[in-house]
Amino acid sequence: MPFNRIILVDDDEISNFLSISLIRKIDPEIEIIPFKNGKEALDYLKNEGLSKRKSNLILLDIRMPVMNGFEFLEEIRNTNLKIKDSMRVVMLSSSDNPRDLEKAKSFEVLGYINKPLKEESISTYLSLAG
Amino acid sequence: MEDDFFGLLTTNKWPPRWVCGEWTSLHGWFYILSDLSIGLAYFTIPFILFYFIRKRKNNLPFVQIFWLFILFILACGATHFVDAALFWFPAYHLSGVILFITGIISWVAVIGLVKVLPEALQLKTTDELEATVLTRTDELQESNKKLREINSDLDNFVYAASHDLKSPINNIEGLVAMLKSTDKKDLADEVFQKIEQSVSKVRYTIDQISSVVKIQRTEEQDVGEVSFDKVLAEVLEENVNMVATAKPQIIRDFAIDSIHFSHTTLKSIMYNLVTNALKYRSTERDLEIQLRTFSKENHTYLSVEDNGLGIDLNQNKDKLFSIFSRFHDHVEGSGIGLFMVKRLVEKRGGNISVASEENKGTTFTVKF
Repeated sequence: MPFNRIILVDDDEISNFLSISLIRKIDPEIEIIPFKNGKEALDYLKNEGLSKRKSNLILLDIRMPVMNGFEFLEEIRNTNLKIKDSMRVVMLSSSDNPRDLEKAKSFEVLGYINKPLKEESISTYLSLAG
Repeated sequence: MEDDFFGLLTTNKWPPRWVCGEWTSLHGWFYILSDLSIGLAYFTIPFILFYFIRKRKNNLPFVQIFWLFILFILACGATHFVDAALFWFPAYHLSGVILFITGIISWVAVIGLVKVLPEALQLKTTDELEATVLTRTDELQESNKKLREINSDLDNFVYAASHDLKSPINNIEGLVAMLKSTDKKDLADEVFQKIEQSVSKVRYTIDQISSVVKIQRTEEQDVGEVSFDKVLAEVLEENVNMVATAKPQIIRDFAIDSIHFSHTTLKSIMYNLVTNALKYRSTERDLEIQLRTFSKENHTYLSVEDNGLGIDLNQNKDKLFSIFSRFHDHVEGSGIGLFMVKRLVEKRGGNISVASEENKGTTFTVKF
C-alpha cells in the first residue's frame, strides 16, 4: 500500500506552496499536512490517536527555527511511541553540504531531495510502499 | 749551540737543575713526574675540546673562546714540559720565552672571557629553555584554539549564508517552472508575487551578510567615553515603532554611567539586546525591560533583563549565539543579532552570558 499521507515539515512557506502544488499534480487525492517546524510536527504525531494512525511519508527540511530536522529525527529515534513504525522520512533541503548528507544517512532516512522539489524526484517516493 | 739566533737554546750559562742545589732522587723525580703529568693532561684537553667543537659544528656559542682556551692550555702544558726538561737542559731563555708567550695568551683569554661574560650570563639553562618552550607551546595552543574557533565560526557562517541564499533562489527556480506550465491568470499572479517575495528575501540576506562583514571590520575609530543612558535613548529612538507597539516599562539602573568604548559597538550591542527583548515579549504580561550596569572585579558589566518568552537553555545553549539560529518563528528575525553581539564583545576582550527560563524571561549579561 502506498503512503496515504504526506507530512511536510518546512518553515519556508513558498517552498511548501511549491511542494504541495507539485504533489497535488501527481496525486490530487493524497492528504498533505504542513508544519512550520519539527516541534509542531512531533507534537501532532505524538498526540494523534493510534486508531487514526496512517502510513506517513515525511518530507523534512533541515534548517528550521525552534526544532530543526535533525533534532526532530533525534526525538523520534528516542521516543518509545510507535510513530516511528508508521513513517518513512525523506529529507527535503536546500543544503547539499556533505555534513548534512552524512548526518541524514546516519538516521537511515529513505531519501534526500535537494530543493527545489521536482516531479521526478518525488513521484518515485510516492509510489513506494509505505 | 753556543750562539744561536735568539740564544734560546743556550744551556751553558746555568747548571742543569739536577746539579743545582741538593736534589734527592725521590724529590727530583717527584717534581719531574708531576710536571710531565700536568703537561700531558694539558696537551690532552685541546683534543677533547677540538673534538667537541667539530661535533657541535655551527651549534656552539662563543666558539672563539674555545679556540683561545685550546691555545692557552697548550701553552700552559708547554711550560710544564720545559720545566721538567730543565733538570737536564737548563735552557732558561727558552723557558722564559715560553712563559712570556703563555702569559700573553693567558691575558688574551682573560680579556676574551670578560668580554663574552655578559652574553654568556644570558645563556639559558636547559630547565629555563624547557620552561620557555612550555610557555610558548601553551601560547601556541591557545592561539591555535582561537584560530580553530574562528575557523569553525567562518565555516558555520558560510554554511548558513549559503543555505539562506540558496533557499529563496531554489524557490524562484521552482516558481518560474510553475509559471511556465500554467495558463491560469490567478495562479500566475500569485506566483509572481511569491517570486518578488523571494527576491526581497535574497536581498535581505545579502544585506545581513554584509552587515556582519562590516562589523567584523570596524576599527576602533570612535572610541571614547560613551554614556549608557545616551546610547539607550538612541536605540529606543531608532525603534520608536516597535517601542510604541510593545509599550515596555524600561527600568534604568546605570550605577556605572559611562564606559571607555566604541560608540558604534556599544550601540550595536544594546540595539540587539533591547530589540530582542521587544520582539520576544510575552503576550500574557506587560513587558518590563531592566537595564543595569555595575562593576565587579575591575570590569564593567551591562545586563539586560526582560520578562518575555524566555529560551529553553538546556536544549539551545550552544546554538543561542551561533549565526542564523532562530528559536521563535512568530516574528521576523535573521538569526544574526546575538551572533554579532558575541563577536563584538569578544573581539574587545569581554564576554556575554545568558540566563533564561521559558515563559519567565531572559537576562543577558555583558562583561566589558
